[in-house]
Amino acid sequence: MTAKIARRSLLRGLGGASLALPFLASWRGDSGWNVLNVPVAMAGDGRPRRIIFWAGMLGSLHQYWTPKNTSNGGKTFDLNEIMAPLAPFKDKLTVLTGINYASLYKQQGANGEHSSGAAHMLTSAPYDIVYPWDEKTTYHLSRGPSIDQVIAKRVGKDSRFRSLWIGDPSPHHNTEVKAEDGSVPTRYYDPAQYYDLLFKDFQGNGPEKEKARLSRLSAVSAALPGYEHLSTRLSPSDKLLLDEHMDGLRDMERRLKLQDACAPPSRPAARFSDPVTGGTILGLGQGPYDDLFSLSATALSCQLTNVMTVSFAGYGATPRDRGVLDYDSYGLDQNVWGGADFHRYSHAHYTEIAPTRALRDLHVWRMKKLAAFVDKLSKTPDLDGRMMLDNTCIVHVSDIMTGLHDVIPGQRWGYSNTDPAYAGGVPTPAQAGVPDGVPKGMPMFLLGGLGDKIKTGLHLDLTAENRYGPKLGKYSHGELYLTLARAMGIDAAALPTFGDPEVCKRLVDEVLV
Amino acid sequence: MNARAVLAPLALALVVGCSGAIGDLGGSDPGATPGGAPSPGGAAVTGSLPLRPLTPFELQTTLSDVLGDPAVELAGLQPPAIVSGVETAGEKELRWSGGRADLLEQALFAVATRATSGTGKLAACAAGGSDLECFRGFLSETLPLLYRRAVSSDDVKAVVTVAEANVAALGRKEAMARALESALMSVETLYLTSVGLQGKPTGELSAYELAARMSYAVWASAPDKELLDAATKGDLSAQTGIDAQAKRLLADPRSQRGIARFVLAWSNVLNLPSRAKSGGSWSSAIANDALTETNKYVGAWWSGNAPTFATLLNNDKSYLTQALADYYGVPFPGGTGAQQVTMPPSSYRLGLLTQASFLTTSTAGGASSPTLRGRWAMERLMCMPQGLPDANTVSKAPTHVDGEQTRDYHEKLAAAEGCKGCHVNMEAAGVPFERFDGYGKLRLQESGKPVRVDTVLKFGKDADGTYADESAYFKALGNSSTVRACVASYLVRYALGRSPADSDAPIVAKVSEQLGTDARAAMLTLVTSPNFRALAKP
Repeated sequence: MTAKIARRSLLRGLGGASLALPFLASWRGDSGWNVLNVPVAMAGDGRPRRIIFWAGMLGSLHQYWTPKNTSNGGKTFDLNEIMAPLAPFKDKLTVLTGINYASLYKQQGANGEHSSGAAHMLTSAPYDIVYPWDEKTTYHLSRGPSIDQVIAKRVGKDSRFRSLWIGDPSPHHNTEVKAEDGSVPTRYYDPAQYYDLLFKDFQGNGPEKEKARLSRLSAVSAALPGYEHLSTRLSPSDKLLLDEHMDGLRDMERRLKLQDACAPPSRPAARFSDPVTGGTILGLGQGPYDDLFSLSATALSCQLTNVMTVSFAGYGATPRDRGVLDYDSYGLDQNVWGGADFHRYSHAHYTEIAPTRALRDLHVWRMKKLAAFVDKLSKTPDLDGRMMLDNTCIVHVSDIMTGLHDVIPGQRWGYSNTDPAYAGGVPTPAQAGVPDGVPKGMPMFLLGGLGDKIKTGLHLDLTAENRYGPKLGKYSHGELYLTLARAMGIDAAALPTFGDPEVCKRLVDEVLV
Repeated sequence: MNARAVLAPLALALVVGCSGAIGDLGGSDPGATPGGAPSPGGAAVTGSLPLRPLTPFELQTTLSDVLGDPAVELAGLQPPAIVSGVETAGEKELRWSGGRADLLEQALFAVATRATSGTGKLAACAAGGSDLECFRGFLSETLPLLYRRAVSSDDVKAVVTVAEANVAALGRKEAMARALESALMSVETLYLTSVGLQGKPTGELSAYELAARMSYAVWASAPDKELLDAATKGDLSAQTGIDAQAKRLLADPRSQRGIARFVLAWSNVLNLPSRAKSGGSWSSAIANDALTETNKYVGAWWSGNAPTFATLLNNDKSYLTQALADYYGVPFPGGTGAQQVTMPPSSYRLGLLTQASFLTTSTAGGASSPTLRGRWAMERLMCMPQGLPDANTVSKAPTHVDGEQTRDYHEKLAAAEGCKGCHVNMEAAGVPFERFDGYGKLRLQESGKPVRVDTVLKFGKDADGTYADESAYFKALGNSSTVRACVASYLVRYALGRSPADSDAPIVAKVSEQLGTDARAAMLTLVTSPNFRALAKP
């Protein structure tokens, strides 16, 4: 997404000076902004690509996650229960089976848990263990930057916000996102504060300015067409000159049109005070996330950023209080699970039917939220005339592999080994009646076309080859992230590798167009 | 004159380099080749490239002429760019990239709004009526002039549609302004296209393209209705028709504007508004008056009886405001604005090269500069471009001594080992200007001694000789066939938009010869030549 690369660079090479963008100054000042002075970061081919890392924490349940009946080279498949809410966008999906955190396994073996997974999920780099609270509670800090910040630094120079990060305020999330200078960006979880960040300085046009905008738009649009006959007869260098002129007009037209898509909502209520207990919300909830996602979709349609991260977690959240699930319908043993949070469910074994079902339904609920967000992107026209989803890629990631924190089949790990719920040992998958519940990688998928840079409508099973160790699959997630950075227009000179270079040696060609 | 001999100075200019300790002209000739030689196939300048943006000046004159508003101004545009003696659209002016698109769009909307608010035909349309018929009629007359071709009903409809879309919300006046703005923003208004006769590889411009090239070369503006009608009727397909229109254009007062623009670029005087000089009694007001002086001087010269290159350089009649007359120390005849003044001999103001505009832009600061002024003379009069010194060469420059005259120092420079190779010639060409400081003020004494302006030229040209003062020097330059040939090459480049080729040699030779007898005839020769209507180098 390095803006206007090819043609502008060539024009400079022909003797041009650097291209100033004086209108940028207007929104960097204190005078507020409206759509007419929002800079738009466009790729060299004129498409406004954007990437969103959607961290659906607590792993997944592969028996309800992995697509079924895959055939025809991955082009034919059925979505499983958890991803079923995404069915309307199946042709925009690329489900990835077999992407693994090879760099994490290098450091800690097969064990997996939330803290190290959170620190590693977007960084693919080794971590250090620190004890910020006491001598027993570990806290993992990655030594490398997260991919969202790496991409944002390279494509977000001209954007109003290089990146945005929303998520609930659990301390676990503190290690997920890290800039290359070691700083940690602000994570927004209060919808009111998030609104203020995005839209407090928004200057509505008002009736007179709106009329002026529409009339400008009509004049600019009228000046655009009709020069095809010229472009076919000009010399190459003069054709570049004409193209540059037309690009300038089209850019103006896009910004004038932006008003139609960019309509900030009214300011939502502050939601970081728990409506039930009065304490601080430490997890998901219906209202706050609905507002956060809605504001985020509007921010994208207003072209305020091209990079977002969503920490859609559940650590510490209690489902009953949040109204996410019909808690009483699962028959949960109140002595074990009563009042417990979703995080506790993620430590249940799949033979423990009640919490597993509750966890499955949590995942389904989260996918419904994602589907609602995606639905908005799919119905909002983008600046190039396509829909925003066509130019976006949502990358689903998680901190751990399964609800059991497995990193290889049959493994169970963690403090929950001592939990009364697990007394009696672990049955085999066959004994448990879920033989296909064997995890084959991190729960990852790509959603959206990223401006025709990635393939969609696929289920890619990448488990046949194990390049970095037994059962680790063909690619590391660092290699996937580097591939997506390339698709965002970041070349090898700007980003030669990502994360642990020992497990980042090739691109995931299977997803690239 | 032999055609190849005419081109010889230019060819020499391209291969001869010279290093010397010279100063910084402070922005003149941006992008020029070392030495400032006209670069073959260089930047797009007035004329022949298939697509080139109008210069800001050309756009302003076009809008002014087409809309009938002499006060049209395009606010916020960059100052003019001069490349090798010819004004160019440059990289930073009318390009619609980045944030400049907003700037240009706003400037054009202001022009369109002004057109609906004044006393012209569009303003009358905007003020009354219940439909857009009047506007449609205005466009039928105006769009051909803006687009420089016959227009169809669809062309008119496309613009009227914008007005129709906005009239309910904005009212007639602003709706028409927006609609006119859409036409002003079109590629056809802002760019000169020269793609030839479609489907006919004749290598010649189409009739409309020829009309545009003629009008921009002679008027620095768009063709008028009569010229476009001639193109439509096919008159420009015949030499007699071309000759008739060219003579008409040259007889029109607008030709003064065109030739003045060429002279201002060739002499670097166009840089004057951007030259931030301060000191002495120089001011932006004096700068404006000085620019007016040169514009009027060139215009009067052009419209006079048989203007020659010699009379461009040597003429004691000029046009001064009260303030500039005071600056020069000459009597002002009275009246407001610039008035014709016969310069007394004691003023030493002998013509173009002794005007404050030239004298100021030919130096970098308040001091005079035999090097920089000589460098200009060698490049623009002799077509002998001079290079720039490297650090090692600069280190060999002699040091100033208190109390020495500027000329004293430059004589040391012209004699110093490592410097004299270039400075002996540049200084020789520059010392006759020494009676004027960097602000164009007359000074007869410097450091307590009379200023010396005598010189000896030894360039191997017909201008070589010993000259007692600037008067003799300028007369020799004006009568030199070498100098005329050099200036002719600049004029051909200005009109054709490219460096002269071997095949242009006969035209350059003819133009050079006619600059010695009648500059208007020289321009007529140029714009009626087959080379002028050729798409590229014939």
